[in-house]
Amino acid sequence: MMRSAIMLAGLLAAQACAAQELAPEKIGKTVLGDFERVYVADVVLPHMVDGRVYVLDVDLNLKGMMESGFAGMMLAAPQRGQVYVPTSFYERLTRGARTDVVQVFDAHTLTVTDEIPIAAARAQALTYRNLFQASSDGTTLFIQDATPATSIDVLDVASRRRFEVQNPGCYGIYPSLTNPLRFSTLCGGGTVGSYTINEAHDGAARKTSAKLFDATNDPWFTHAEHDVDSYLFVSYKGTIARVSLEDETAKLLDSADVAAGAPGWAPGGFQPFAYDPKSGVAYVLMHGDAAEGSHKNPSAEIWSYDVKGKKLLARSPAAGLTSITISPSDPSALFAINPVESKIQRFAVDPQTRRVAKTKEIKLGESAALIEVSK
Amino acid sequence: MDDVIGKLLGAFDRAAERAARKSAQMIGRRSALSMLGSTLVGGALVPLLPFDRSLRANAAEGGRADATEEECDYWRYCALDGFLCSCCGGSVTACPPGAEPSKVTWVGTCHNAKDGKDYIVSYNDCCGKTTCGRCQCNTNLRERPGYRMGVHNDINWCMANTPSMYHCTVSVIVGVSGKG
Repeated sequence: MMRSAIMLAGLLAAQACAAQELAPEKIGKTVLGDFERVYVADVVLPHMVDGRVYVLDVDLNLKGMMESGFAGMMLAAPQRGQVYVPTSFYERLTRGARTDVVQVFDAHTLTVTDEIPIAAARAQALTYRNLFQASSDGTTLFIQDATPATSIDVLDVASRRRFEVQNPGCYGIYPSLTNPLRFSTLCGGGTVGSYTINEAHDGAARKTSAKLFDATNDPWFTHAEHDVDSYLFVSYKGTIARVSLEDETAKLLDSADVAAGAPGWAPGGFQPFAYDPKSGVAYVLMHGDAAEGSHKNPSAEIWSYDVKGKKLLARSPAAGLTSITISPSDPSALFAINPVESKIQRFAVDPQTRRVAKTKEIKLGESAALIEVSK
Repeated sequence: MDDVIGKLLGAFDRAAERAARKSAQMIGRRSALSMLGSTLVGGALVPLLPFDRSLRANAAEGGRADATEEECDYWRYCALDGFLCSCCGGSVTACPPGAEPSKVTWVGTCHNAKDGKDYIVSYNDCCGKTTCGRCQCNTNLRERPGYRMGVHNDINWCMANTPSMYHCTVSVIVGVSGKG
């Protein structure tokens, strides 16, 4: 009797469980909507064939990723709903024929929808913004080559036609902000070379500026920001230079010294500053005990600097950062790479004091160097 | 130093000369010379000297006297960005098994506290094997952006090898700075 009661109780319990049993499910697929993205390019140094570009939302939730092969670069083209990722592939992963292409990713599915072949001379470099850029109208891509002799490939996206211009002793690409046929490059003699593409779109004439900076004693970082009508460069020792790249020859318009009155402090990192064109404030990754060779040191602080007013507005503790950028739609939101802790971090800017404070972070990345915010 | 320069110039290959001539035609002699002075090209393990003599005065104080060859503070690693081959089956001056020395390199000028001299160090990447991943260093004494390519270390210096896969980095003395 007792045994039957136990069996009955068990049967009832099983039926109750069956009532709660989960239904079989279908596997879903995720497609990203139209939100502002934070892109983080990671060359994953310990296993370089497996580079990736992480896609996050502005709350630093990881939403997906794109493959960037060996030492790939990235550039978002939000008006086309695409992201360009030029990279190198080897036939047998680490050996065999090298193939270089610009992968065209759909920004919503994060799948490769097209590939544009390019010369296998692309600079296989750490992900610096200015090694891969687009013309002001988005129709032309500029690819920095290094063999190690340097040149720039000019690629018309629609026709896939491309031509090469030499930029020996020079490096980096800075497209004109208004003229889609013009781009500039930084040169080891402290000059800027500016190229103007001809009408046939098969060559470019170059003009060299006067000496604008001291490449030996106080070189400009190759990372640059742009204002409405000019570029900003920062030097190893903290000079911010405003340069016009709109005419045939580059011109220095103004300069300011971020580190004035603060000996021993200097900018550092791979993407060492961000700039808000609306307020004219630059956010600079600064480290103390600066010396020859410290120019890639992680930050101790973020300095908020009024470039036009030439005034330091705030110093905010922010340790371990080597790359920083700003949201184009919300200039109170800064995003940074902290390679010391392998984190991506978000900071909020106080609109009154311009002080900066960390608000969010995500553990992500191995060798991330470039962070971009784009629709 | 003159001997070293002679050897380095001798290492220049014909392809580099062709590139230089082409560049000279396109943008003038001055820029072509600038390229030669700042880019290391050649089939040998030694670079064309790109270092700027004005930097010599500030030659490295760096390094830790008791650092081992598997530590980033070892004196001759003063401008090394990458994985130490001494941690990957090779040594300070030898590539690990199966890896080939890079044909082109960047250089540093590092101070050896033991003899008080500043040495020009060629940082050859070792190529053709998957990335080692051990003992990653990032030191940057007198390192400069890519417009001074010969002293730039944020690029794959296996770029002129086939295959160009990066494995690790060695540090080979090519001369004494300030001599000659």
